Amino acid sequence: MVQPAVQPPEVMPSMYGPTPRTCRPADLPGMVSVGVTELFPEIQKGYRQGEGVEETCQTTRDALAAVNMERIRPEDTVNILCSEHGFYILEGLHYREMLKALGDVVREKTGCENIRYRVASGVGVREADEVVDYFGLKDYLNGEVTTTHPFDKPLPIETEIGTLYGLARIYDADWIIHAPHDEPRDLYFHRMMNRCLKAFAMNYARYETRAAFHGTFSNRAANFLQKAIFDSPLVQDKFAFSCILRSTPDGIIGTDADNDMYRLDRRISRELLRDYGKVLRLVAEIDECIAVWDAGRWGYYIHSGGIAFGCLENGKYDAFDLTVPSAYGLHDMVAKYFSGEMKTFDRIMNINPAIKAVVINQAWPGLPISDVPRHVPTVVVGRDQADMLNLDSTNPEFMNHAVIADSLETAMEFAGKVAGTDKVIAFDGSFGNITASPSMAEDLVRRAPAVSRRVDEELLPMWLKQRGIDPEEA
Amino acid sequence: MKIVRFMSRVDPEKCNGDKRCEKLCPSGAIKVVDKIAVVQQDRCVACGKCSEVCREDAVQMVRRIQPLTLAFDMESVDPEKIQALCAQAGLLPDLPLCACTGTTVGEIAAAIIDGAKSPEDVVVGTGAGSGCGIYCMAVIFKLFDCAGVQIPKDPRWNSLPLTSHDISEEIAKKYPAYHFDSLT
Repeated sequence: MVQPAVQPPEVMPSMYGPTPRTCRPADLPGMVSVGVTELFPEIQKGYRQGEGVEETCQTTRDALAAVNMERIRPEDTVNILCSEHGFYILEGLHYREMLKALGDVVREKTGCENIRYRVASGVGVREADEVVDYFGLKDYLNGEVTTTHPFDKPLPIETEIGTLYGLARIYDADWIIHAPHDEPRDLYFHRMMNRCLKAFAMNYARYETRAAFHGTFSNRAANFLQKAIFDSPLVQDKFAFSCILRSTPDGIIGTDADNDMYRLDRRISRELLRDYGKVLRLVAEIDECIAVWDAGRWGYYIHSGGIAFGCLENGKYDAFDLTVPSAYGLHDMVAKYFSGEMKTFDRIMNINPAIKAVVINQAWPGLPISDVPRHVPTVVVGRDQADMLNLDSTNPEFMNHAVIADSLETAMEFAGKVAGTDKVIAFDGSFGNITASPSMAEDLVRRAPAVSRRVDEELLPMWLKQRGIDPEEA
Repeated sequence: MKIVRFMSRVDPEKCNGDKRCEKLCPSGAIKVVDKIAVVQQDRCVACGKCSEVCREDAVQMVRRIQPLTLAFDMESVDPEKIQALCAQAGLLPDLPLCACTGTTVGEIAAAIIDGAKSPEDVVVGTGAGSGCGIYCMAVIFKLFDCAGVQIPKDPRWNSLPLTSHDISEEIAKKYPAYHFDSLT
């Protein structure tokens, strides 16, 4: 069950992060890996990095076989909407393959040649451009490839709750095909409500809409924004179908597609609640740990066993349980303020107290993450990573609260002394395995059977019922 | 509050005057004059977007000799007016709404009461919006709207003063799963 540490996916070089590290947590003496499907044998096995890319082409074709594309005429224009996040799942090649196969099938079934790919970025202005270059998308994909970002030209979208703002480049075609990935990422925000539609209020939206999602709506209400945009006449007139790269915490399991967005969302949500729910609740059981960030993304979004660090950080709440008042966030604090429990507001994120130290071997600045060093001893590896954090306008005080180590080895040694634990979990971009110290791995193995039983018998039925999802719906 | 330790510097030899930087600058610090970008140092909040977007690599972030402090003096504004504006917006004045700088709702309300006319003024006056430039902007739009200040038209922003409190009773009843009317 516990094996020598498995090498994580490679890190894409980026202007947003330090030079990819040659020493990673999996390289440290004594580190091990514990397999996701060994912890939870019932979770569907998936492809890891370097596996199953060609099969993704076939599973995409299979998924699209039943999709109706009759409304797309040869003379029409079609935008395939891509999320650059998809390129950071494993090494991004499965997502690229799905996109290629999708475009090819649309061309074959409709005779339409005017197929364009729109790659939307997460936060930064140049993120998507980097992805296009690194993955050679302009050569690999058969169609024009263009990028867009949150500050790009807006498109007002009239919705049931008023005008919201999308990105003009996303919608500048007769038809749109929604082609994201299903990995749940920041589920403490979306809480698996309209998960598969979220890109309409995020990747495909201008920053004003994203700001409302995060800033002025509680985290259940916010998930209405993507529904409002998707249901708008503008989007409904253009929406052809959706094609989604499927995953479990073990890796990539294929592709699903449907003309009915809500049916697809229910189908995928049911499986995500089951598969990710188990690993999520297991991670939430961790009582003490040193967390290591080690991949080419923002710390919150770096995976370990398919679970993003943000899920550990917010792990003291069950974000899937919709009865938990505002699993995390601004409105949680407002409630505490009104009740008198909290006199002042000194933090946005509620850090899981099980996190005793954080080591940053490599990660992107660019999102506000200063709550981490303010509340948890934090060690930054390398002057280049520290310089990037110093320069980062979203974390202007980060390095006032963190220390620098010259190497990952010395950082881990220091963190161990400060944290008083030898339990280490590495967020290194892995699916399929959790890279950990032996004591952490043993702890996860010991806890997994009870977590599995509780999810199957108690939590999953509750999560599904709260969302009105039929466990048997096809 | 934000202590700004860096600022943008333009290499005029590399700048092609394409205005990509100007179109993204949240504080109006960088403007293209005679086809060359020029930085007004006392307005540069070091968000770095100009450097990020420049395809000519013409904008570098350099350390300031004297750091610039972005903060609003709350004592200069009647606290009752701050409370009233925040209440109208349905927001608590102590809430640190800007995750990047910790700027509170009350500071932004105070800056608007004190005469801020645009998001740009709020960015320079309080520090809010000088980081990611995304997450706190909805609150800024909401406070301007409640103060009755019409922000000038500008391609950098579209006022979206929408909060969950603004959702109509009809919509809330139609979609009860979203809990518009509660804190959950």
